[in-house]
Amino acid sequence: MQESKAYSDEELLMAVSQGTELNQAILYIYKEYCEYVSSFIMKYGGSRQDAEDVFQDTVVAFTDLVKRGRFRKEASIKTFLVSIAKNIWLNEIKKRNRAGSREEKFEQTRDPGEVDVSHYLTEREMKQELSKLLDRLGESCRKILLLFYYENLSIRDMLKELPYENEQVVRNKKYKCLQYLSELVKKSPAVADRIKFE
Amino acid sequence: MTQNKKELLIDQLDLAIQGGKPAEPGYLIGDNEDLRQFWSRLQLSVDLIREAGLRDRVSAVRKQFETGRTESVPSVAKVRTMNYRVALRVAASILILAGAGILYKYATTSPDELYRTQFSVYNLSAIRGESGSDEIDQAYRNGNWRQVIGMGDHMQVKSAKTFFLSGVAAMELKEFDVAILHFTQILQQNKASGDDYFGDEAEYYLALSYLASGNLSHALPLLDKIRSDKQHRFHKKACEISAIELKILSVKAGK
Repeated sequence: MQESKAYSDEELLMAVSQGTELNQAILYIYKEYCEYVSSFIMKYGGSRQDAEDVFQDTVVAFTDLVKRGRFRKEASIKTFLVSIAKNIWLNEIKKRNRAGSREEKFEQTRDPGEVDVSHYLTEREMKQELSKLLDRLGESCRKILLLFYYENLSIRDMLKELPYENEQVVRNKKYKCLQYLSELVKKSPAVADRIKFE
Repeated sequence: MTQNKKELLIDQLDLAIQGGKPAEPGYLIGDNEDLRQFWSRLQLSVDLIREAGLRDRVSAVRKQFETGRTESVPSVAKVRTMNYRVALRVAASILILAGAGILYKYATTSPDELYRTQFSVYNLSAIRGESGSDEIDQAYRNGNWRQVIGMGDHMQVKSAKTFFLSGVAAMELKEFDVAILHFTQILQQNKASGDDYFGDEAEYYLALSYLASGNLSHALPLLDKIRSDKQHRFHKKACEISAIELKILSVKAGK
């Protein structure tokens, strides 16, 4: 495995929020916390696969929350991750409609100092549902939008990654792809509610 | 809603998102509800794209982590397991081959077979101190085995050489009991006289005759004696019989 550097909590938050060495930082999170958080999920009825999937969602949520400045250092990263993981697993249990008693028992296990992240995660849940719309975009549109809006590449740099003749073609494709995604979002019932609340 | 306005809103979004949540471009939207909703959907779309990008990235790191985990910790075990398995296979192959070899050896080792590989007709010119010009020598050289035996039987005084030639002739005729009698005579005569004339030859061919007749209880001690005596004329020849062949014969003889 690639050697990952060790981070203090402060350095890790910096690396995640600034996006510098993001892969290294995520790998460090995996190495440091995956087993701990996974064992926690398994303790509450999750399988090994459940635990690893929950941890993946936890890392995505953690990274997103840190980038948005929503982690206010009121707890350690470890405690924060456990809080996120517990909420994700709780929602998963609810989805699976697995016995309220376990759910209640699980909800009662909040440790002192644990962060209540449930309100953040509700929003993320919906976003996660909507992110499935991207799968309907087609590979080329998905790639164009990811290069521009996630990788933050310029149109010129995108041209090197794509099989198009010039920047104008890339720009036009990007317009069309984003509008198409917007149409998919418009047709999604989950979005109607969200836009209503704004 | 015009296509031009949509693209302008997208351009506006692209510029604005560099600084966080984009402010609504009121001058483009005005009081147009469709454009306002389009603007909201654009922002949500970009959120979704970023979410998907982050998810892809974390998923890739997860795979890297899982691969590394299986390659680092268990990989040692894996290599060990592979080596261990290879070693086991090699050992098993060796054992099987060795076992098959032993079984084959066991099946094919018999007094008859040993006799066939060890027996060769005695070269008369090798007889010590004998010119071999008489009739029995001639009959022997001509391979007239029955004649050799007959001539020897009719001799009034039988030398060790007469007994020996008669014994080898009897072996050629597969009359091993007769051969044993002749070779035994030599050894008895030598014992009585204190001579050692044809003694080594008699012992070796007697052992072979015992082998051929299946009398292992007499053959094996004789062969052991010759093998342990480096001065014996047939020591080298007897040592061509391996210890394992002798052991197999012993087992087969129930010793």
